[in-house]
Amino acid sequence: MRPAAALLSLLLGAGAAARAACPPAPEAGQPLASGPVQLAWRAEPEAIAVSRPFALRVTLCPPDARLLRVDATMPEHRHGMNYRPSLQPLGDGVWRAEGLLWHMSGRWELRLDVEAAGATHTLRQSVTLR
Amino acid sequence: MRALAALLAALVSLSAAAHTLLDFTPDERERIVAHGPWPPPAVRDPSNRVDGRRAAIDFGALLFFDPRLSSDGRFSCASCHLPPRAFQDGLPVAASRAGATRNTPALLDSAHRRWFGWDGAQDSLWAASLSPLLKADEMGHTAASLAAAVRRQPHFAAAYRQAFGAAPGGDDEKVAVDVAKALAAWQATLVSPRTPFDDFRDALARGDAAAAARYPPAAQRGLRLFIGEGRCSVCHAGAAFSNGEFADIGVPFFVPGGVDPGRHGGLQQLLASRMNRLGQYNDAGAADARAVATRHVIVEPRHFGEFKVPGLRQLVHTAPYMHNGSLARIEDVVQHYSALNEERLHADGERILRRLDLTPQQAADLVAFLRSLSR
Repeated sequence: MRPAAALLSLLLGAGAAARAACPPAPEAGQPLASGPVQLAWRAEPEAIAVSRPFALRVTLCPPDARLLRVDATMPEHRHGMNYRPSLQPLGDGVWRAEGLLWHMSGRWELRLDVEAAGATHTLRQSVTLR
Repeated sequence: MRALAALLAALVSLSAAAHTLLDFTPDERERIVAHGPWPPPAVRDPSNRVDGRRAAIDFGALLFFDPRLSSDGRFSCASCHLPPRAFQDGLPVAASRAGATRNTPALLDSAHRRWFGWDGAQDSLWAASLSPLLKADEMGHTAASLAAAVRRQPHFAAAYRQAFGAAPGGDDEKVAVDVAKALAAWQATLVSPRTPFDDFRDALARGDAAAAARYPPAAQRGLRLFIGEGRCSVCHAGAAFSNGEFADIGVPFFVPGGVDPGRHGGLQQLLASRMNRLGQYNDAGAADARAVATRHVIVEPRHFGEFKVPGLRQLVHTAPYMHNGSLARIEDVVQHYSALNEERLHADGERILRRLDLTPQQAADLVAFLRSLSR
Protein backbone atom coordinates (compact mmCIF):
# COMPACT_ATOMS: atom_id res chain seq x y z
CA MET A 1 0.00 0.00 0.00
CA ARG A 2 2.82 2.34 0.91
CA PRO A 3 4.49 2.13 -2.54
CA ALA A 4 1.11 2.85 -4.17
CA ALA A 5 0.64 5.98 -2.03
CA ALA A 6 4.16 7.10 -2.80
CA LEU A 7 3.54 6.60 -6.50
CA LEU A 8 0.29 8.56 -6.27
CA SER A 9 2.02 11.32 -4.40
CA LEU A 10 4.78 11.39 -7.00
CA LEU A 11 2.24 11.57 -9.81
CA LEU A 12 0.31 14.37 -8.09
CA GLY A 13 3.56 16.19 -7.47
CA ALA A 14 4.52 15.85 -11.09
CA GLY A 15 1.10 17.18 -12.09
CA ALA A 16 1.47 20.22 -9.85
CA ALA A 17 4.94 20.82 -11.20
CA ALA A 18 3.54 20.70 -14.72
CA ARG A 19 0.83 23.22 -13.87
CA ALA A 20 3.37 25.60 -12.38
CA ALA A 21 5.90 25.19 -15.19
CA CYS A 22 8.39 28.00 -15.51
CA PRO A 23 8.26 30.09 -17.54
CA PRO A 24 4.45 30.22 -17.77
CA ALA A 25 3.01 28.71 -20.92
CA PRO A 26 2.52 31.07 -23.89
CA GLU A 27 -1.27 30.80 -23.58
CA ALA A 28 -1.01 32.26 -20.05
CA GLY A 29 -0.59 35.67 -21.68
CA GLN A 30 1.94 38.49 -21.87
CA PRO A 31 5.27 37.43 -20.32
CA LEU A 32 7.21 39.64 -17.92
CA ALA A 33 10.34 38.93 -15.89
CA SER A 34 12.35 40.57 -13.13
CA GLY A 35 15.10 38.78 -11.22
CA PRO A 36 13.83 35.39 -10.13
CA VAL A 37 10.21 36.23 -10.98
CA GLN A 38 8.56 35.36 -14.25
CA LEU A 39 4.89 35.96 -14.85
CA ALA A 40 2.29 36.06 -17.56
CA TRP A 41 -0.85 38.16 -17.53
CA ARG A 42 -4.01 38.03 -19.54
CA ALA A 43 -6.93 40.46 -19.50
CA GLU A 44 -10.49 39.25 -18.98
CA PRO A 45 -12.21 40.11 -21.23
CA GLU A 46 -9.24 39.76 -23.54
CA ALA A 47 -9.72 43.09 -25.33
CA ILE A 48 -9.34 45.97 -22.89
CA ALA A 49 -11.73 48.79 -23.83
CA VAL A 50 -11.73 52.41 -22.72
CA SER A 51 -13.71 52.86 -19.52
CA ARG A 52 -14.83 49.22 -19.26
CA PRO A 53 -13.95 47.28 -16.08
CA PHE A 54 -11.67 44.33 -16.62
CA ALA A 55 -9.74 41.75 -14.64
CA LEU A 56 -6.27 40.26 -15.00
CA ARG A 57 -5.38 36.60 -14.72
CA VAL A 58 -1.78 36.49 -13.57
CA THR A 59 0.34 33.32 -13.59
CA LEU A 60 3.38 33.56 -11.31
CA CYS A 61 6.62 31.68 -11.46
CA PRO A 62 7.76 30.43 -9.02
CA PRO A 63 4.21 29.40 -8.10
CA ASP A 64 4.76 30.10 -4.42
CA ALA A 65 5.42 33.77 -5.19
CA ARG A 66 2.77 36.21 -3.97
CA LEU A 67 1.08 38.92 -5.99
CA LEU A 68 1.12 41.94 -3.68
CA ARG A 69 -0.26 44.71 -5.82
CA VAL A 70 -1.59 45.51 -9.28
CA ASP A 71 -1.82 49.11 -10.38
CA ALA A 72 -1.62 51.22 -13.54
CA THR A 73 -0.78 54.81 -14.36
CA MET A 74 -0.71 57.09 -17.39
CA PRO A 75 2.81 58.53 -17.13
CA GLU A 76 2.21 61.27 -19.70
CA HIS A 77 -0.95 62.39 -17.91
CA ARG A 78 0.55 61.88 -14.44
CA HIS A 79 -2.47 60.10 -13.04
CA GLY A 80 -3.51 56.59 -12.20
CA MET A 81 -6.73 54.66 -12.10
CA ASN A 82 -9.79 55.70 -10.12
CA TYR A 83 -10.00 52.14 -8.82
CA ARG A 84 -7.87 49.86 -6.64
CA PRO A 85 -7.91 46.23 -7.84
CA SER A 86 -8.52 43.38 -5.43
CA LEU A 87 -6.31 40.28 -5.59
CA GLN A 88 -7.41 36.69 -5.23
CA PRO A 89 -5.14 33.60 -5.33
CA LEU A 90 -6.64 30.84 -7.47
CA GLY A 91 -3.94 28.26 -6.66
CA ASP A 92 -0.92 26.87 -8.48
CA GLY A 93 0.58 30.34 -8.84
CA VAL A 94 -2.47 31.74 -10.63
CA TRP A 95 -4.04 34.98 -9.34
CA ARG A 96 -6.99 37.09 -10.35
CA ALA A 97 -6.86 40.88 -10.07
CA GLU A 98 -10.33 42.36 -10.33
CA GLY A 99 -11.54 45.94 -10.56
CA LEU A 100 -9.23 47.54 -13.11
CA LEU A 101 -10.66 50.28 -15.31
CA TRP A 102 -8.70 52.42 -17.76
CA HIS A 103 -10.76 55.51 -18.35
CA MET A 104 -8.71 57.12 -21.11
CA SER A 105 -7.12 56.04 -24.35
CA GLY A 106 -3.36 56.38 -24.55
CA ARG A 107 -0.35 54.77 -22.90
CA TRP A 108 -0.88 53.02 -19.58
CA GLU A 109 1.91 51.52 -17.52
CA LEU A 110 0.78 48.34 -15.82
CA ARG A 111 2.63 47.57 -12.59
CA LEU A 112 2.68 44.28 -10.73
CA ASP A 113 4.46 43.88 -7.40
CA VAL A 114 5.43 40.30 -6.61
CA GLU A 115 7.04 38.85 -3.51
CA ALA A 116 9.38 35.93 -4.10
CA ALA A 117 12.12 34.48 -1.91
CA GLY A 118 11.65 37.24 0.66
CA ALA A 119 12.08 40.15 -1.76
CA THR A 120 9.62 42.36 -3.59
CA HIS A 121 9.99 42.66 -7.34
CA THR A 122 8.19 45.21 -9.50
CA LEU A 123 7.30 44.23 -13.05
CA ARG A 124 6.04 46.82 -15.51
CA GLN A 125 4.54 46.73 -18.95
CA SER A 126 3.52 49.54 -21.24
CA VAL A 127 0.13 49.08 -22.88
CA THR A 128 -1.37 51.49 -25.38
CA LEU A 129 -5.14 51.62 -25.24
CA ARG A 130 -6.81 52.83 -28.42
CA MET B 1 -25.34 82.99 -72.07
CA ARG B 2 -22.30 84.08 -70.06
CA ALA B 3 -24.49 84.61 -66.99
CA LEU B 4 -25.91 81.11 -67.34
CA ALA B 5 -22.41 79.62 -67.58
CA ALA B 6 -21.34 81.54 -64.49
CA LEU B 7 -24.40 80.33 -62.58
CA LEU B 8 -23.70 76.76 -63.69
CA ALA B 9 -20.08 77.04 -62.57
CA ALA B 10 -21.16 78.44 -59.22
CA LEU B 11 -23.63 75.59 -58.72
CA VAL B 12 -21.02 72.98 -59.61
CA SER B 13 -18.57 74.59 -57.20
CA LEU B 14 -21.22 74.72 -54.46
CA SER B 15 -22.05 71.07 -55.02
CA ALA B 16 -18.38 70.10 -54.81
CA ALA B 17 -17.98 72.07 -51.58
CA ALA B 18 -21.02 70.37 -50.10
CA HIS B 19 -19.67 66.91 -50.93
CA THR B 20 -16.12 66.86 -49.72
CA LEU B 21 -14.54 64.19 -47.61
CA LEU B 22 -11.37 65.19 -45.77
CA ASP B 23 -8.32 62.97 -46.18
CA PHE B 24 -8.77 61.22 -42.83
CA THR B 25 -5.86 58.90 -42.03
CA PRO B 26 -6.49 55.27 -41.04
CA ASP B 27 -5.75 56.26 -37.44
CA GLU B 28 -8.26 59.11 -37.57
CA ARG B 29 -10.86 56.84 -39.13
CA GLU B 30 -10.35 54.33 -36.35
CA ARG B 31 -10.81 57.04 -33.74
CA ILE B 32 -13.96 58.31 -35.43
CA VAL B 33 -15.50 54.86 -35.74
CA ALA B 34 -14.89 54.36 -32.01
CA HIS B 35 -17.62 56.96 -31.38
CA GLY B 36 -20.32 54.53 -32.47
CA PRO B 37 -22.37 52.68 -33.42
CA TRP B 38 -25.53 54.39 -32.29
CA PRO B 39 -27.82 53.48 -30.69
CA PRO B 40 -25.86 50.98 -28.62
CA PRO B 41 -27.37 47.61 -27.70
CA ALA B 42 -29.85 47.87 -24.85
CA VAL B 43 -28.52 46.94 -21.43
CA ARG B 44 -30.40 45.62 -18.43
CA ASP B 45 -29.62 46.64 -14.88
CA PRO B 46 -29.45 43.47 -12.78
CA SER B 47 -29.83 45.50 -9.58
CA ASN B 48 -33.37 46.43 -10.67
CA ARG B 49 -35.61 43.36 -10.94
CA VAL B 50 -38.28 45.25 -12.92
CA ASP B 51 -35.91 46.87 -15.45
CA GLY B 52 -37.25 46.22 -18.94
CA ARG B 53 -40.68 45.07 -17.77
CA ARG B 54 -43.57 46.79 -19.53
CA ALA B 55 -45.72 47.26 -16.42
CA ALA B 56 -42.83 48.86 -14.53
CA ILE B 57 -41.99 51.14 -17.46
CA ASP B 58 -45.62 52.29 -17.59
CA PHE B 59 -45.68 52.85 -13.82
CA GLY B 60 -42.46 54.84 -14.07
CA ALA B 61 -43.88 57.08 -16.80
CA LEU B 62 -46.99 57.66 -14.69
CA LEU B 63 -44.90 58.62 -11.68
CA PHE B 64 -42.49 60.83 -13.65
CA PHE B 65 -45.16 63.28 -14.80
CA ASP B 66 -47.30 63.33 -11.65
CA PRO B 67 -46.77 66.22 -9.20
CA ARG B 68 -48.10 64.08 -6.37
CA LEU B 69 -44.64 62.59 -6.31
CA SER B 70 -43.53 65.70 -4.43
CA SER B 71 -44.52 66.19 -0.83
CA ASP B 72 -46.57 69.34 -1.49
CA GLY B 73 -47.87 68.34 -4.93
CA ARG B 74 -46.08 71.23 -6.65
CA PHE B 75 -43.32 69.40 -8.53
CA SER B 76 -43.11 66.37 -10.74
CA CYS B 77 -39.85 64.94 -12.06
CA ALA B 78 -40.82 66.55 -15.37
CA SER B 79 -40.84 70.01 -13.75
CA CYS B 80 -37.05 70.02 -14.03
CA HIS B 81 -36.51 67.24 -16.58
CA LEU B 82 -38.43 68.60 -19.58
CA PRO B 83 -38.89 66.16 -22.49
CA PRO B 84 -38.37 68.76 -25.27
CA ARG B 85 -35.04 69.75 -23.68
CA ALA B 86 -33.57 66.27 -23.57
CA PHE B 87 -35.05 66.08 -20.05
CA GLN B 88 -33.11 69.10 -18.83
CA ASP B 89 -34.62 72.45 -17.78
CA GLY B 90 -32.65 75.10 -19.65
CA LEU B 91 -31.70 76.87 -16.43
CA PRO B 92 -28.18 77.41 -15.08
CA VAL B 93 -29.06 75.65 -11.84
CA ALA B 94 -32.12 73.66 -10.84
CA ALA B 95 -35.19 75.63 -9.78
CA SER B 96 -35.65 73.73 -6.56
CA ARG B 97 -37.09 74.92 -3.28
CA ALA B 98 -33.82 76.23 -1.84
CA GLY B 99 -30.63 77.54 -3.41
CA ALA B 100 -29.45 74.90 -5.86
CA THR B 101 -25.87 75.04 -7.10
CA ARG B 102 -25.79 72.53 -9.94
CA ASN B 103 -27.14 72.31 -13.45
CA THR B 104 -29.96 69.79 -13.93
CA PRO B 105 -28.56 66.74 -15.76
CA ALA B 106 -30.27 65.48 -18.90
CA LEU B 107 -31.70 61.95 -18.69
CA LEU B 108 -31.27 60.55 -22.19
CA ASP B 109 -29.08 57.43 -22.52
CA SER B 110 -28.80 57.12 -18.75
CA ALA B 111 -29.17 53.31 -18.78
CA HIS B 112 -25.56 53.06 -19.96
CA ARG B 113 -24.03 55.19 -17.23
CA ARG B 114 -21.85 53.91 -14.42
CA TRP B 115 -22.17 56.93 -12.13
CA PHE B 116 -25.06 59.35 -11.77
CA GLY B 117 -25.16 63.03 -10.97
CA TRP B 118 -22.37 65.59 -11.42
CA ASP B 119 -20.55 64.05 -8.44
CA GLY B 120 -21.42 60.41 -9.12
CA ALA B 121 -22.97 60.01 -5.68
CA GLN B 122 -25.19 57.20 -7.03
CA ASP B 123 -24.22 54.05 -8.91
CA SER B 124 -27.60 53.07 -10.34
CA LEU B 125 -30.42 54.81 -12.11
CA TRP B 126 -32.85 53.80 -9.39
CA ALA B 127 -30.67 55.20 -6.60
CA ALA B 128 -30.29 58.41 -8.62
CA SER B 129 -34.08 58.55 -8.96
CA LEU B 130 -34.64 58.00 -5.25
CA SER B 131 -32.24 60.73 -4.17
CA PRO B 132 -34.26 63.80 -5.33
CA LEU B 133 -37.49 62.27 -4.05
CA LEU B 134 -36.10 62.19 -0.52
CA LYS B 135 -34.25 65.51 -0.50
CA ALA B 136 -35.89 68.28 1.50
CA ASP B 137 -34.88 70.88 -1.10
CA GLU B 138 -36.18 68.86 -4.05
CA MET B 139 -39.29 66.64 -3.93
CA GLY B 140 -39.35 66.82 -0.15
CA HIS B 141 -40.65 63.34 0.68
CA THR B 142 -39.59 60.96 3.40
CA ALA B 143 -39.74 57.25 2.67
CA ALA B 144 -42.87 57.13 4.84
CA SER B 145 -44.67 59.99 3.08
CA LEU B 146 -43.70 58.65 -0.36
CA ALA B 147 -44.93 55.15 0.45
CA ALA B 148 -48.14 56.62 1.92
CA ALA B 149 -48.72 58.62 -1.28
CA VAL B 150 -48.39 55.45 -3.36
CA ARG B 151 -50.74 53.50 -1.10
CA ARG B 152 -53.25 56.37 -0.95
CA GLN B 153 -53.58 57.08 -4.69
CA PRO B 154 -55.63 54.26 -6.27
CA HIS B 155 -53.98 54.58 -9.69
CA PHE B 156 -50.51 54.53 -8.12
CA ALA B 157 -51.38 51.50 -6.01
CA ALA B 158 -52.86 49.67 -9.00
CA ALA B 159 -49.84 50.43 -11.18
CA TYR B 160 -47.50 49.35 -8.36
CA ARG B 161 -49.36 46.03 -8.14
CA GLN B 162 -49.04 45.54 -11.89
CA ALA B 163 -45.33 46.32 -11.85
CA PHE B 164 -44.28 44.40 -8.76
CA GLY B 165 -46.90 41.66 -8.62
CA ALA B 166 -48.21 42.64 -5.18
CA ALA B 167 -49.75 45.62 -3.44
CA PRO B 168 -47.34 48.06 -1.78
CA GLY B 169 -46.44 46.48 1.56
CA GLY B 170 -45.88 47.95 4.97
CA ASP B 171 -42.13 48.54 4.62
CA ASP B 172 -41.95 52.24 3.69
CA GLU B 173 -38.34 52.17 2.55
CA LYS B 174 -38.90 49.16 0.31
CA VAL B 175 -41.92 50.85 -1.31
CA ALA B 176 -39.87 54.03 -1.84
CA VAL B 177 -37.07 52.02 -3.48
CA ASP B 178 -39.60 50.23 -5.69
CA VAL B 179 -41.00 53.59 -6.80
CA ALA B 180 -37.47 54.60 -7.76
CA LYS B 181 -36.97 51.31 -9.61
CA ALA B 182 -40.12 51.90 -11.65
CA LEU B 183 -38.92 55.42 -12.44
CA ALA B 184 -35.58 53.96 -13.49
CA ALA B 185 -37.26 51.34 -15.70
CA TRP B 186 -38.96 54.12 -17.62
CA GLN B 187 -35.92 56.37 -17.85
CA ALA B 188 -33.86 53.45 -19.16
CA THR B 189 -36.04 53.56 -22.27
CA LEU B 190 -35.01 57.15 -23.08
CA VAL B 191 -32.46 56.82 -25.85
CA SER B 192 -31.30 59.79 -27.90
CA PRO B 193 -31.94 59.68 -31.65
CA ARG B 194 -29.33 59.17 -34.34
CA THR B 195 -27.55 62.28 -35.50
CA PRO B 196 -25.80 63.57 -38.65
CA PHE B 197 -22.52 62.50 -37.04
CA ASP B 198 -23.80 58.90 -36.76
CA ASP B 199 -24.65 58.82 -40.48
CA PHE B 200 -21.13 60.06 -41.23
CA ARG B 201 -19.49 57.62 -38.84
CA ASP B 202 -21.40 54.66 -40.26
CA ALA B 203 -20.62 55.69 -43.84
CA LEU B 204 -16.93 55.90 -42.93
CA ALA B 205 -17.08 52.50 -41.21
CA ARG B 206 -18.53 50.79 -44.29
CA GLY B 207 -16.24 52.67 -46.69
CA ASP B 208 -19.01 54.67 -48.36
CA ALA B 209 -17.11 57.83 -49.27
CA ALA B 210 -20.01 59.35 -51.18
CA ALA B 211 -22.34 59.14 -48.20
CA ALA B 212 -19.61 60.30 -45.81
CA ALA B 213 -18.98 63.35 -47.98
CA ARG B 214 -22.50 64.61 -47.26
CA TYR B 215 -21.34 65.50 -43.74
CA PRO B 216 -20.58 69.25 -43.73
CA PRO B 217 -16.88 70.10 -44.23
CA ALA B 218 -16.89 72.39 -41.18
CA ALA B 219 -18.12 69.50 -39.00
CA GLN B 220 -15.45 67.23 -40.49
CA ARG B 221 -12.74 69.77 -39.68
CA GLY B 222 -14.14 70.19 -36.19
CA LEU B 223 -14.21 66.42 -35.72
CA ARG B 224 -10.56 66.22 -36.77
CA LEU B 225 -9.74 68.76 -34.06
CA PHE B 226 -11.91 66.92 -31.53
CA ILE B 227 -10.12 63.59 -31.96
CA GLY B 228 -6.68 65.10 -32.69
CA GLU B 229 -5.07 68.35 -31.66
CA GLY B 230 -7.88 69.28 -29.26
CA ARG B 231 -7.67 65.91 -27.48
CA CYS B 232 -11.33 66.26 -26.53
CA SER B 233 -11.98 62.56 -27.16
CA VAL B 234 -9.53 61.58 -24.40
CA CYS B 235 -12.39 62.21 -21.94
CA HIS B 236 -15.36 62.54 -24.29
CA ALA B 237 -14.83 58.97 -25.48
CA GLY B 238 -16.95 56.28 -27.03
CA ALA B 239 -20.41 56.29 -28.52
CA ALA B 240 -21.82 58.45 -25.72
CA PHE B 241 -18.92 60.92 -25.94
CA SER B 242 -18.08 60.43 -22.27
CA ASN B 243 -15.72 58.09 -20.46
CA GLY B 244 -18.19 58.13 -17.58
CA GLU B 245 -15.61 59.41 -15.13
CA PHE B 246 -14.78 62.80 -13.59
CA ALA B 247 -12.47 65.71 -14.35
CA ASP B 248 -11.44 69.16 -13.23
CA ILE B 249 -11.63 71.39 -16.29
CA GLY B 250 -11.08 74.70 -14.56
CA VAL B 251 -14.70 75.63 -13.92
CA PRO B 252 -14.81 77.33 -10.51
CA PHE B 253 -16.34 75.24 -7.77
CA PHE B 254 -17.07 78.08 -5.37
CA VAL B 255 -20.71 78.33 -4.37
CA PRO B 256 -22.47 80.77 -2.05
CA GLY B 257 -21.12 80.09 1.42
CA GLY B 258 -18.44 77.58 0.46
CA VAL B 259 -17.21 75.19 -2.17
CA ASP B 260 -18.73 72.32 -4.10
CA PRO B 261 -16.41 69.34 -3.47
CA GLY B 262 -17.69 67.56 -6.58
CA ARG B 263 -16.53 63.95 -6.98
CA HIS B 264 -14.75 63.91 -3.62
CA GLY B 265 -18.03 64.53 -1.81
CA GLY B 266 -19.93 62.27 -4.20
CA LEU B 267 -17.63 59.35 -3.45
CA GLN B 268 -18.06 59.72 0.28
CA GLN B 269 -21.83 59.87 -0.15
CA LEU B 270 -21.80 56.85 -2.47
CA LEU B 271 -19.74 54.66 -0.18
CA ALA B 272 -21.77 55.59 2.90
CA SER B 273 -25.11 54.95 1.21
CA ARG B 274 -27.25 51.90 1.89
CA MET B 275 -28.71 52.48 -1.57
CA ASN B 276 -25.58 51.60 -3.51
CA ARG B 277 -24.99 48.39 -5.46
CA LEU B 278 -23.31 46.80 -2.45
CA GLY B 279 -26.39 47.32 -0.31
CA GLN B 280 -29.47 45.27 0.49
CA TYR B 281 -31.63 46.77 -2.27
CA ASN B 282 -29.53 45.40 -5.12
CA ASP B 283 -31.89 42.77 -6.52
CA ALA B 284 -28.99 40.75 -7.96
CA GLY B 285 -26.97 40.79 -4.74
CA ALA B 286 -23.38 39.63 -5.12
CA ALA B 287 -24.12 38.40 -8.66
CA ASP B 288 -24.35 41.97 -9.99
CA ALA B 289 -21.31 42.34 -12.25
CA ARG B 290 -21.87 46.10 -12.40
CA ALA B 291 -21.07 46.38 -8.69
CA VAL B 292 -17.39 45.88 -9.49
CA ALA B 293 -16.87 49.63 -9.92
CA THR B 294 -18.44 50.47 -6.56
CA ARG B 295 -16.44 47.74 -4.87
CA HIS B 296 -13.11 49.06 -6.14
CA VAL B 297 -13.51 52.82 -6.52
CA ILE B 298 -11.11 54.92 -4.42
CA VAL B 299 -11.38 58.31 -2.75
CA GLU B 300 -8.36 60.57 -3.17
CA PRO B 301 -7.74 64.29 -2.63
CA ARG B 302 -7.38 64.76 -6.40
CA HIS B 303 -11.11 64.09 -6.74
CA PHE B 304 -11.89 67.38 -5.05
CA GLY B 305 -13.46 69.75 -7.58
CA GLU B 306 -13.86 67.08 -10.23
CA PHE B 307 -17.22 66.77 -11.94
CA LYS B 308 -18.74 64.23 -14.30
CA VAL B 309 -17.61 64.22 -17.91
CA PRO B 310 -20.99 64.70 -19.58
CA GLY B 311 -22.01 62.96 -22.76
CA LEU B 312 -22.31 65.28 -25.74
CA ARG B 313 -25.29 63.84 -27.55
CA GLN B 314 -28.26 66.21 -28.01
CA LEU B 315 -26.01 68.97 -26.77
CA VAL B 316 -27.95 71.75 -28.52
CA HIS B 317 -30.96 70.97 -26.32
CA THR B 318 -29.15 70.99 -22.97
CA ALA B 319 -27.81 74.54 -22.61
CA PRO B 320 -26.55 76.08 -20.40
CA TYR B 321 -23.41 74.01 -19.84
CA MET B 322 -21.00 72.86 -17.13
CA HIS B 323 -21.84 71.57 -13.65
CA ASN B 324 -22.92 75.04 -12.54
CA GLY B 325 -24.59 76.06 -15.79
CA SER B 326 -22.16 78.95 -16.09
CA LEU B 327 -21.66 78.80 -19.87
CA ALA B 328 -24.69 79.75 -21.94
CA ARG B 329 -23.75 78.61 -25.44
CA ILE B 330 -21.72 75.89 -27.15
CA GLU B 331 -19.51 78.69 -28.45
CA ASP B 332 -18.75 79.65 -24.84
CA VAL B 333 -17.73 76.08 -24.02
CA VAL B 334 -15.32 75.99 -26.95
CA GLN B 335 -13.91 79.36 -25.89
CA HIS B 336 -13.45 78.01 -22.35
CA TYR B 337 -11.12 75.30 -23.64
CA SER B 338 -9.43 77.68 -26.07
CA ALA B 339 -8.41 80.02 -23.25
CA LEU B 340 -7.86 77.54 -20.38
CA ASN B 341 -5.85 78.66 -17.39
CA GLU B 342 -3.19 75.95 -17.38
CA GLU B 343 -1.57 77.17 -14.16
CA ARG B 344 -4.79 76.52 -12.32
CA LEU B 345 -5.27 73.10 -13.92
CA HIS B 346 -1.81 71.70 -13.48
CA ALA B 347 -1.49 72.45 -9.79
CA ASP B 348 -1.63 68.72 -9.01
CA GLY B 349 0.76 67.71 -11.77
CA GLU B 350 -1.80 66.28 -14.17
CA ARG B 351 -1.28 67.13 -17.83
CA ILE B 352 -4.40 66.15 -19.68
CA LEU B 353 -5.81 69.51 -20.71
CA ARG B 354 -3.95 72.32 -22.33
CA ARG B 355 -4.92 75.72 -23.64
CA LEU B 356 -6.07 75.22 -27.24
CA ASP B 357 -5.65 78.78 -28.55
CA LEU B 358 -8.08 78.10 -31.37
CA THR B 359 -8.35 80.41 -34.37
CA PRO B 360 -11.85 81.77 -35.03
CA GLN B 361 -12.15 79.28 -37.92
CA GLN B 362 -11.13 76.35 -35.71
CA ALA B 363 -13.56 77.41 -33.00
CA ALA B 364 -16.38 77.64 -35.56
CA ASP B 365 -15.46 74.19 -36.93
CA LEU B 366 -15.49 72.66 -33.47
CA VAL B 367 -18.91 74.18 -32.82
CA ALA B 368 -20.16 72.83 -36.17
CA PHE B 369 -19.02 69.34 -35.15
CA LEU B 370 -20.57 69.57 -31.69
CA ARG B 371 -23.87 70.71 -33.19
CA SER B 372 -23.85 67.66 -35.45
CA LEU B 373 -24.17 65.46 -32.36
CA SER B 374 -27.80 66.52 -32.02
CA ARG B 375 -30.92 65.90 -34.01
